[in-house]
Amino acid sequence: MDYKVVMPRLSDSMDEGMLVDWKIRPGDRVKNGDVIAEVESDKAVMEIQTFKSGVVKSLLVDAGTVVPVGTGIAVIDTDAAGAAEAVPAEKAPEAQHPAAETKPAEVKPAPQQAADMPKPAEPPETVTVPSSPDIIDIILGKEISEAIPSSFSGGSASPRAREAAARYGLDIDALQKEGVLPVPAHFDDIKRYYIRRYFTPKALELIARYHLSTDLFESGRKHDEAEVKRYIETHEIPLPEPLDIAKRSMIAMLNEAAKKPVYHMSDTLDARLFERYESKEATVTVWLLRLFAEAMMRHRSFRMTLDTDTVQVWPNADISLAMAEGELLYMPVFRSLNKKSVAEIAQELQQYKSKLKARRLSPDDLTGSTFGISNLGMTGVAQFDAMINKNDCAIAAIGAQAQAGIAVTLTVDHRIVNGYQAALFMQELKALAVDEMFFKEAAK
Amino acid sequence: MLYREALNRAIDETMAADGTVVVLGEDVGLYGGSYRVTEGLVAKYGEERLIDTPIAELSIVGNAVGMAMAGLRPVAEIMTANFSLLAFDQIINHMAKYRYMSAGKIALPMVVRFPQGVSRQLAAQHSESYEQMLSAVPGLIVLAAGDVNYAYHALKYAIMSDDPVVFIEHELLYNKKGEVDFDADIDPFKARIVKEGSDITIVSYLKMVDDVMEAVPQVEKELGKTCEVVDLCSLNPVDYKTLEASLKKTGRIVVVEEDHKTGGYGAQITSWAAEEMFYSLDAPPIRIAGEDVPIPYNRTLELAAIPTPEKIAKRIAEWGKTNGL
Repeated sequence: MDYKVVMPRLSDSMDEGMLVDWKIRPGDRVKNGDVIAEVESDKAVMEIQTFKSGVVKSLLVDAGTVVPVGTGIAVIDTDAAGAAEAVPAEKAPEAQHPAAETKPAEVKPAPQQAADMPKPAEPPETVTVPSSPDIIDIILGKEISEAIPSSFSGGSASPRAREAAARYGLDIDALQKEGVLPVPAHFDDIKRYYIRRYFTPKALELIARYHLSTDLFESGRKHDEAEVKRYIETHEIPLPEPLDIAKRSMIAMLNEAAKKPVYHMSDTLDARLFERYESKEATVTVWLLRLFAEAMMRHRSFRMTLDTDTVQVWPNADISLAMAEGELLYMPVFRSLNKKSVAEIAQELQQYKSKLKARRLSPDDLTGSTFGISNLGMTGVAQFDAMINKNDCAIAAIGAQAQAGIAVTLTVDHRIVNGYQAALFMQELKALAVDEMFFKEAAK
Repeated sequence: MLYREALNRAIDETMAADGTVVVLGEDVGLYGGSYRVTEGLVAKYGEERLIDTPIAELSIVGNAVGMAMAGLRPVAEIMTANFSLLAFDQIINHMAKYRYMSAGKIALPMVVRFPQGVSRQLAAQHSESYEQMLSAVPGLIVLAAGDVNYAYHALKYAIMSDDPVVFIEHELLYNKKGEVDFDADIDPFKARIVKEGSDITIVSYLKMVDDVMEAVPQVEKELGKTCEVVDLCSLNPVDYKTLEASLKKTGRIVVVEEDHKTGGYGAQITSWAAEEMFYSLDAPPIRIAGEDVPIPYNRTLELAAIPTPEKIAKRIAEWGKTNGL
């Protein structure tokens, strides 16, 4: 089968090219990737390669001739004996271009890049470009299919490709003559050419980010980033941000929490002792952890979790604390707080903070609590209520310190703790908040 | 549940629900059917409703036609497709035509069931497929059960339908395992998307659906594209809507059938694609079918005569590569 090498379009502005020098002669054996000629376009001289193996049948253009893009310049007989194992022509110019040989599909567009290549015998302007009509595919990194099958029975484009070309206002025959569309052309070839031709890379990036289709934009003219931006604004297109694993698990957890039969209970704790004993390390949050732990040890209901046919009563006070990192919420667990001093708790809190920053919390860090605390007091919010974490029986939402004291709202799972028990627990919290002995002990 | 158990259950349930449902055929009663489809039913419903007939296919279908005209819901079993040829006069001239000839006054609520296709060395006279002939007869509904769940729901529909139905099974499917969703609302005329994909539509039916599913991973690996596999289920009428939606998405269609290629049923699907879907086609529609030879007895030659997962994968990959994939 005869394979015709055509003058490729090497730049947008190129209409014709001069054949500077032939690297092959009729009768030479060439293989896929071999450099066959040098072509001058604009100011650069570029090498062109063949994408078929075979024997050179004839050269259609003399060196030094200028021909329009798409003109046939050489014929290679791909069926010639030994074509499959064709060895390169004797002068084997590609031996000097290892990069060109291993990656024939790569275009080296800039002369200065080519200058880095180890080819002392060539002028520095020389760059390597393929002579295949699939030049756009090559630019886009698409592998070149082994072109026309032996069973191919004619025709230049599939019906779907023709339908798309008509819709996009593209002239398949002309583009194939120019060598920018393969023969036969399929839908993907048309679409790729169209997108490449009419959309700037930045516009495409935006279209991809917003999950839009290029078909939303009128065909036949160029579209840039600004236009896509306008489209997004006028059509109120939201930016779809995929949920990462952390967000997904948070949503699942909250959906579970929303199913729990809960009630709320609010009161205020006296803030004076907190103010007196708080320090840079032993913050209000640290004191709250210790204080709630103490109350939990005196009220077993708040050390309970619900299983299928039992409630589990846990021996120590294990509290999960709501901590934010960006838009994410984590509930790391502080274990056996009843046995820890305020200093130890403060240290643990610091450790969790750095783990959170590094996103290095382990599953172990996030399980094993029976009660939760969410403290938004530092933001000045007066009062709020919280969602119960995982298997916890309740959570305390802490508001800002005001004249009346610190606002505490309990959200309690009614299946585990009744209102009366919760009221006693609240009473305990209030008593501890004014119990200086407790603060003194815990500060040790 | 096995395919044959699903068929058994469908017959059992319709017999329990409707006293006019009767089964007739060779060895369907005491023996429980050549492929055990009617196993245990004679003990439940008696010899009056599970009628063992002589080896005379024309009379089996002829009697069923008469029963249907007189108000029963007969389910006639023919042991294998090749033997149905003896009953073609009754199937084509009578079963398919009476409603038309009587200006709609006579309904024929009947089913003719048989297995077809290449099994294991049953040779040329017991391995044929006749969906192409039966689908060409106006007045007949032709269903092809390639899936256990579909087999259960479609046979129940066929028995309770007032229209004559040819219900095609496949010799190698009787022991196929599958889940049956008894509460599912299955439209027997709707093609089944067995697997979703975006680049190639592969249409098939009966056992070839399984072979296609075996071939698909290799095709997808080789081409780096995804295949959508469609089980036609109803061969007449055809669910062109489902095919159209799939083909619009993929632009490429392959039909895989076990029958001989020349004059085979798959030609109907590819000709539809060419006639109706021309401007959606990104590659020539192809058929992968059996060779134009009587099915050989020799196992090696038998497999050489029909599509196998390996052959299907190879052909689709080659075709894809030479057509822009």
